[in-house]
Amino acid sequence: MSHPVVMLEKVEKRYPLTKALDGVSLTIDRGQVVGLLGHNGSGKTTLLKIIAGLKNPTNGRVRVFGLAPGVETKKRVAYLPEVNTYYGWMTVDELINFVKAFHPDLDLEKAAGLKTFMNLNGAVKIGALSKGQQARLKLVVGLARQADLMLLDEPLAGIDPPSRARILEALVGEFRQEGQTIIISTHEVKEAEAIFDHVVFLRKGRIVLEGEAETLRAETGHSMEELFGEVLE
Amino acid sequence: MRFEIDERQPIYRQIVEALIRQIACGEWPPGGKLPSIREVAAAARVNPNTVARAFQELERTGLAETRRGEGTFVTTDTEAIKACREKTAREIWTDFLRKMRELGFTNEEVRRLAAELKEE
Repeated sequence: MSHPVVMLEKVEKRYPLTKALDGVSLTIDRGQVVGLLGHNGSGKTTLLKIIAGLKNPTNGRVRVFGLAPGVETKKRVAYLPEVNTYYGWMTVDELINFVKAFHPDLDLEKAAGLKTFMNLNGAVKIGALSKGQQARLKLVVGLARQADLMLLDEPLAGIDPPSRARILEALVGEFRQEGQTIIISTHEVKEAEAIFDHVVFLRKGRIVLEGEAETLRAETGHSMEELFGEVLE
Repeated sequence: MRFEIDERQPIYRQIVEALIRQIACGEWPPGGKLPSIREVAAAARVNPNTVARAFQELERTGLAETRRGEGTFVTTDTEAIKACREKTAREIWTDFLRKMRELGFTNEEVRRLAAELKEE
C-alpha cells in the first residue's frame, strides 16, 4: 500500500525515426491531480499509453501500483484517449451499459448523476452530439468508473468554453472519487492549472521541469501558464 | 461564493484571504457553517487539496473550526471577528499611506485630500 501509484525509471520509447520518450523518470503519489504539460509531439500521449499498459517502453522500468502494467493494473486504470472511439449509432445510455459490460466497476447511479451534471440526454445518438457534448460524455464514462487511476489525454482540446468549465468542475467536485489519482495531459494550461497538485513539463520526450504547482508559484511568482511559455519555447 | 484567483501566486493563500474577508464583512456569520471543501473547490475550480490546505490555515487564525463529520464553522467569538476586521482595515490603511508617501504626500496633505474628496 506504500507503493506510489506510478513509478517510471529512465523510460525510453523509440520509433524507427524518432525518440518519443528520452529517459523519463517520474513518481506520482496517491490522490494527486497531475498536469502533464507539453506541446503536440512532446511525448504526452506515449507516456499515458505506457502507464495505461497499451504500449511497451523500449527501455526503462514502469510500475503502476507497484506492478508491471498488465491485466491486473488495467482493471484499476481508466484511460480516456483524445480521439473519440465510441460508435456513433449508440445512444448515450447504450454506451454507458456497453462500457459497464467491459468494466464492472462502472457505477450506474454515478453515471446517471454525471449525465445530468453534464447536461446530456441518454436517448440521443452519439453521432448526433457536438464535439463538446462528446467530450463531456467521455468524462461521464471515465468518472463513473471506480478506477484508482484516471488518465485523461487532452480532455479540453478543441471544445467550447462552457464544456471545458463543466469538465474541470466535475474533476474537482463531488464526482471525484476519494483518493483517486488523475493524470491530465494538456497544452491548454490557463483554465486547467488551478486543479493541478503537481505539474510535469515535457519537451521532446524529456521532463524539463516538475514540481508542486503551489511551490512553483511561490518560488517563481509565475503561473503554470507562464512557466509553460518559458520552459517549453 | 466568488473567488478571484491570480495564478501567479499560491492559490491556497488567496482562498484563505478571501474567506477571512468574507468572514470579516459578515458574508459568513458568526457560528455559521462554511461551504465544504468540495463546494469551494467546485466554485473556484481549484484542486480540493489546495482548498483543504486553505481551511487548515483558516483554522490556525482562530476564525473557524472544523467539527469532525459536520464541517467547518465560523467562530462564535465576535470579538475575534471584530479584531480581524480591524486588522484588515489597518493593513489596507498602511498600504494606502505607503503608496501616498511614495507619491510624496505628507500626512497633512492626505488629511486635506480626504476632507476634500468627502465633499464630492
